[in-house]
Amino acid sequence: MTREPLQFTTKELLLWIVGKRKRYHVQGSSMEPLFQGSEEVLVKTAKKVSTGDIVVVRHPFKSLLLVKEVGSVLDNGSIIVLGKRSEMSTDSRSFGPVTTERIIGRVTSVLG
Amino acid sequence: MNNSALSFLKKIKPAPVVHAHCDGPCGVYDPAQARVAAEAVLSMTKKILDLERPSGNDKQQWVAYQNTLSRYIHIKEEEAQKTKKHLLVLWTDFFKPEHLEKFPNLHDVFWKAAKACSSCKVEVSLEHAEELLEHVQKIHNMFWEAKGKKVAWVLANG
Repeated sequence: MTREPLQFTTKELLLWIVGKRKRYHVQGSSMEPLFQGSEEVLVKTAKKVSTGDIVVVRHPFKSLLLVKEVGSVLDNGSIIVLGKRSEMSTDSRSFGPVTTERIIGRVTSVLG
Repeated sequence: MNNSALSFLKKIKPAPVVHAHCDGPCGVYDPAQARVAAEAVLSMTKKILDLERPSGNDKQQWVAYQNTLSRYIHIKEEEAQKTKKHLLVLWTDFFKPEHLEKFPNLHDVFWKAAKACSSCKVEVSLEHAEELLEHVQKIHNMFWEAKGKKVAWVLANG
């Protein structure tokens, strides 16, 4: 499936202005080369996501937000999340699936 | 988005952080760590070679000499081991299979650098210490080329 690039378009700007997008600051390098670890992204609130989506989720056991890629979607809606740099990413391989209520949304664009 | 506008926005309304790393401290890679340790190995090697033995049988002088020599050797050993550790992290965690296309001798450079660390521990050799620093410089160059940046090789003791 061809994934849409995360371009910051006029449409994304308008959606952000009207409150349909939330802004987050990415920190860390486990999603290289997609994110270098200092970008800001816009996120669309969503509970239903697809394999290959870049998502923001709540860590299952700690009070922090993670940005990872959806590796797969389970029958109950939970998702397996993975970092792009597997050797330095803590993700579903260690903490298991992320349940629906912990999904914040899908990254739709990169601000820079 | 325009860089100035984004910088302004970041200042006036910082965004919540989303972590793209493991929940423990992640590797922040920089061959400078290996360079500093390798420079220390060279420095301690020189100090050991330059250390003058007491000329007579004065006990105090010999105690001071042995103490100083022991400490120099201990630090040389530690710094050589640190160099090895920092190099291992770069080799196993930073460099990826695709870097082998650009640097086909990558594994060989790291292997020789690791061996030089051991040689510096086993011997008091200016040649091995300088060789170690040369290997670290090659790794420095590969690292920054892999990152697409130009970072000069600057010695702390240069």
